[in-house]
Amino acid sequence: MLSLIVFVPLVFALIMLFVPKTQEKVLYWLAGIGTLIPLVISLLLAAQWYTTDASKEVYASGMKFVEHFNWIPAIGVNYTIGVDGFGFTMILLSALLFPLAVLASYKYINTRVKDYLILLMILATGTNGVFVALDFMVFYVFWEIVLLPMYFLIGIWGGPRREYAAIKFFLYTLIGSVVMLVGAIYLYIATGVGTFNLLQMAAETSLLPINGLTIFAFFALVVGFAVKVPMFPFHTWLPDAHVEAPTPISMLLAGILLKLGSYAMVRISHPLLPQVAQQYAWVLFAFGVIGILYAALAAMAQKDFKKQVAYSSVNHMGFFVMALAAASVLGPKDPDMAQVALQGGYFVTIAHGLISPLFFFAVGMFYERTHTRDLGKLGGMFLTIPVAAFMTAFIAFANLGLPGLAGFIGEFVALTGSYPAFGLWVLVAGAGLVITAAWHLLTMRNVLLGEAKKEYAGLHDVTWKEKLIFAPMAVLIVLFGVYPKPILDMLQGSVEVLSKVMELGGK
Amino acid sequence: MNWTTAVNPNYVFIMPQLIITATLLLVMIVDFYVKEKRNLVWVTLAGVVVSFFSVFFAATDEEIKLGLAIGEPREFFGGMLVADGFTFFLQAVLLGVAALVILLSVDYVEKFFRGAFLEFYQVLLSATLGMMFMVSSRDLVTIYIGLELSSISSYILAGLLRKDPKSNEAALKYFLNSATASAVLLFGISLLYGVSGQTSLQGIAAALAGTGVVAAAGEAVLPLIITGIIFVAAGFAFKVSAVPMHLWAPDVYEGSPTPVTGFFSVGPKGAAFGAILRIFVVGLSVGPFTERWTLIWAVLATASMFVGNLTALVQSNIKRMMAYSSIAQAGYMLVGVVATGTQPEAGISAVIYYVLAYALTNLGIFAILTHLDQEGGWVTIDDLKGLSSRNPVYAWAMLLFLVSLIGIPPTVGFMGKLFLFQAAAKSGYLWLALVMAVNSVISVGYYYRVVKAMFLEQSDRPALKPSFGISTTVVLSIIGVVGVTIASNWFVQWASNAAALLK
Repeated sequence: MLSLIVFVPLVFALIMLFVPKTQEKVLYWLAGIGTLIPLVISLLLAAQWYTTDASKEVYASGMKFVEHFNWIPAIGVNYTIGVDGFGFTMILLSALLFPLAVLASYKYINTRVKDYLILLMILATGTNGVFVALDFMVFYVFWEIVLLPMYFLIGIWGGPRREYAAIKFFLYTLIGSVVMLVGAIYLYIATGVGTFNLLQMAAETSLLPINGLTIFAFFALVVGFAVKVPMFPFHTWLPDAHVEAPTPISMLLAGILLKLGSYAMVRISHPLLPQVAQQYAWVLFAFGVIGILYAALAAMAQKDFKKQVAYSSVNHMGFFVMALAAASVLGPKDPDMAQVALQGGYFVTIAHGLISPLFFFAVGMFYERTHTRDLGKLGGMFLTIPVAAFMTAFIAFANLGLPGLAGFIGEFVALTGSYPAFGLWVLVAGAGLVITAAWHLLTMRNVLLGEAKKEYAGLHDVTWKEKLIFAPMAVLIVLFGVYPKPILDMLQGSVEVLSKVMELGGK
Repeated sequence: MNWTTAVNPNYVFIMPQLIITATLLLVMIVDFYVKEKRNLVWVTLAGVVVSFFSVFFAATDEEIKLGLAIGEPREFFGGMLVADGFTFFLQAVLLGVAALVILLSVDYVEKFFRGAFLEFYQVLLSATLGMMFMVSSRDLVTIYIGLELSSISSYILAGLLRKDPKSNEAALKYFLNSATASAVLLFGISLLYGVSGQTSLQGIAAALAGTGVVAAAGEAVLPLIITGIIFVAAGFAFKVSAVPMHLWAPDVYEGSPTPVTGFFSVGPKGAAFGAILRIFVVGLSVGPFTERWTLIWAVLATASMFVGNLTALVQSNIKRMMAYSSIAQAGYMLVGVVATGTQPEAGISAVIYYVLAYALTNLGIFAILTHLDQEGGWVTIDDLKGLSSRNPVYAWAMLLFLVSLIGIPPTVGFMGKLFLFQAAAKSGYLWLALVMAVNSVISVGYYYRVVKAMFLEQSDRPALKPSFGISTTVVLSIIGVVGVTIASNWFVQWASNAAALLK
C-alpha cells in the first residue's frame, strides 16, 4: 500500500505525458486524481494504524506497513519501505498538501501547464518516497529525485530572479547530499555491515567509537539534512527560493520539502550516530537557537511579505533543531524528558507543515490581487477584502504561536523539554518567540489595519477555490491546537525508540 | 609439442573478432556492388550486432565456462588472448558502443561524408577490432598492437571531414601527440620487458615479486622498474586523456566530426581503461610497486577532476565542454583504478561498470548533438536554446543524460559513482571519494548551462527534422540509463564476476 502512495503520482505523470498539452482541464483532473489517490490510501492506512502490528523483521523492526524486495543484493541494497510515527505523520501531511497544491495551481499557473503538473507529480513521488524509505540508498534516490522537479518548478514558473534562486537551491542541496552520501558510505564500509538498511546499519554504527572519521560522517549527514531543514547557517537559499517560487510551490516547499530534512535527522543521522550526536549536541543547539533568534530578527527587518514568512520558517525549524539537540543530551540522563523534547520538536515540524503553507497561500492571495508583496504598499485590507484579511489574521496568529492553535503546542513542549538540557540558554529561543510575535503584529497592522487604500478598492474577496484550500488546513490547525493527542500518540512509539537509542549512545 | 598445443586456437572464443574482421572485408566487397552507398550502414551494423551476440555465445562456451568455474581462465593463441569475464564484459560494451555510433551517424554520414562511406565504416570497424584485442589480452605485445590499431584508425576518423580545416587540425594533432604518447608507452613497456624478460603480465608480476633477473640484480633494477611504470602510466594517461596528458582532447574533440567525437569519448577511453586495469592489476600489483602507482593515479585522478571540471565551466563551445567533461569523467574512473591497489575486485568492477554507464550516457548526448549538428548551425551552448520547445523529447532525454553525468539518481551514472565511492572508501582513499563528491557538484556548473539554455531560454529556430537513427539511439540510451539502474544487480554481478578472476 505504501508503494502505491509513492508511485501512483509517478504513474499519473507518465499517463500525462501522452495527453496533448492543450488539454489543460484533463491534465488538471489527472493531477488531482493522481494526488488524491495517495490521500485516500493514507487515510485508509491511518484508520488501520492502531490495529496493525509493527513488523518484527530485523530490517524493519517497529515499522508498520512494511514492504521488502531485493534490489541490488550484491551490495546489500534492498527496496525496504515502512513507516513509524515520524514517517507516517509526514506521509499524511504530504498526501494532504499535494492535492491542495494542485488546486492552488488551477487558473494560477497558465504557461506550460503540462510540464508543470508532470513535475509536480514527480515531486510527490520523491517526497513520499523519502518518508517511507528504510534503506539508505532508496532514501537517497528519492531524496535526489526531489531536487530536479523543484529546480524546474522554481526556475520556469518563478518570479523575476527565478533562475538564480533555482540554481542556488539546487547547488546547496546537491552539495549537502553528495557529502552525505560519502559519509553514509564510510559508515557502511567502517562497520562492514554489508547492507544499507538503516535499522541494521544503526545497530552497528551506534557502537562505533567517537573519532575523527565518525565525527566527519555525522556532520556529513547532518549538514546534508540541515541544508534542507534549513538550519542556520545553511538557510540562505530558502528566502530566495521562497520569494521566487510560485505560490503552490512555496506551499510545498514550506510544508513538505523542509520536513525532509527534519525527518532525515530523526531517521538517519541521530539513530545512526547517537554517541556523536550526544557529544556535539551543543553545536546543533547553538545553531538552533541562533537560527531562532536570527530568523526572527531578520523577518522583522524585511520589506517583502513573502520573505518575512520565509524567515519565519527558519525560525520555526530552529525549534525542532533545538529540541533534537536537547533530546540527545537528555537521552542518557533523563529519558522521559528526552521524549518530551522529541515530541515537542517533531510536533513543531508538523504544525509548521500545516500553518506555513497556508501563510504562503495567504501572501499569494494578496499578491494575486494587488500584484505587490511590499509591506509598505499594502494596507487596510480588513476594509477592502474582509474575508481574506480575516483568514490572514487567523493564520498569522497560528504562526506566532497563539495558544489554542497548533503552533503553540509544539513550541511550548519543545521549550519545556529543552530547558533541563541547556538551562537558561533556552531563554534565547524564548526571546525569539517574543520577537516573532512582535513582527507578526506589526505586519498585521501594516497589511490588514488602517484606512482602506484607494488603489485597492474593488478587489474581489475570496473565491471558492481559496476557501476550499483554506478550510481543511484551518480545521486541522484548530483541532491539533486544542486536541493534539492523536498526533502525539502516533509519535509516541517512535519517540520512545529514538530516546532509547540516544540513551544507549550516551553510554 | 605440436602446433595445436603450442598455439591452442579456439575459434569460438575469437568469433567476435573474426566476425568484425569479416565484416570489414565484406563492406569493401559490398561497396563494389551497391549503388546506394548509404546501404553500407546496414551491412556494418549487422556485422557489429552479430559480433555483439557472439560475445555471449563465446562466454557460454563449455570449455571457457569450465575454465572460469575452476578459477583459471583459459588462454588461447599462445597465451596471447585470455577468455575471462573481463574480456567478455568489455568486448560487449565496446561492440555496443560501435553499434550505437554507427546507428546515430546514419544521416550524418550521408550528409557530410559524401564519397567516404566505405572509409568511415571500415575505419570504425578496425578501431573497434583493435580495442577488442586490447581488452582481451594479458600480454603487453597484444595490448600494444591492439592499442596501435585503434589509435591509427582514430587519427583517420578524426580527419574524415576532409574539407574542414578544424577536422584536419584535429587529425594531425591527434596523430602527432598520440604517436609521442605511444612511443613513451612503448619505451615503458620495453623497460619492463628488459627487467623481467617477459611480455606476459603474469610473468612480469612474478619477476617483480623477486624471481629470475630481478632477484639477481636486486636493488639495482629498481629505478628501471619505476621508470617503466611511470612511462606506462604516462602513455595510458594520454590515451584516457588524464591531466596533465589531456591537452590534445579539447582540440581533437572539437574538430572531429560529432559522431566520431562521441566515439572517442567512450570507445578508446573505455578500452584504455581495460588495458590499464589489466596491466596494473595483473602485471604491476606487486608489494612496494603498488603503493607507488596508486599514488601516481591518485594524483592524476585529482588533477583530472579539478582541471576538467573547472575548465569546462568557462567553455562556450559544447564539444569542447564535453571534452573537458570527459577529462573529468576519466578522473572519476581513475579513482577506481586507484582503489584496485588494495581492493582489486571492488575497484575493477567499479571502473568497468562506470565505463558501461558512461558509454550509455555519453552516446545519448552525442546522438542529440549530432542531430543538432546535421541540422546545421550549432557550435555554442547558446545554440541549444529553446530545445525544449523545438524537440521536447530530446530536451528531456538530454536532461536525463546530464543528470547521469553529474551522478544524481535514478540514473546509471549515480550507480557508477556509488560503486566508485565505495571502492575508494574501502581501499582507504576516503579523501578521493570526497574530492569526487565535490567535483560532482562543480560539474553542475556547466551542465546546468545546457539545461538552462534548453529549458529556460527561447529560440525561434524551427523544430528538428526526424532522424530515425538518432531517435533510436536516444531511446536505446534512455532505456540503458534507466534500465541498467533498475536492473543494477545483474550488471553489478556481471562486473564483479568479471573482476574476480582478473588477478
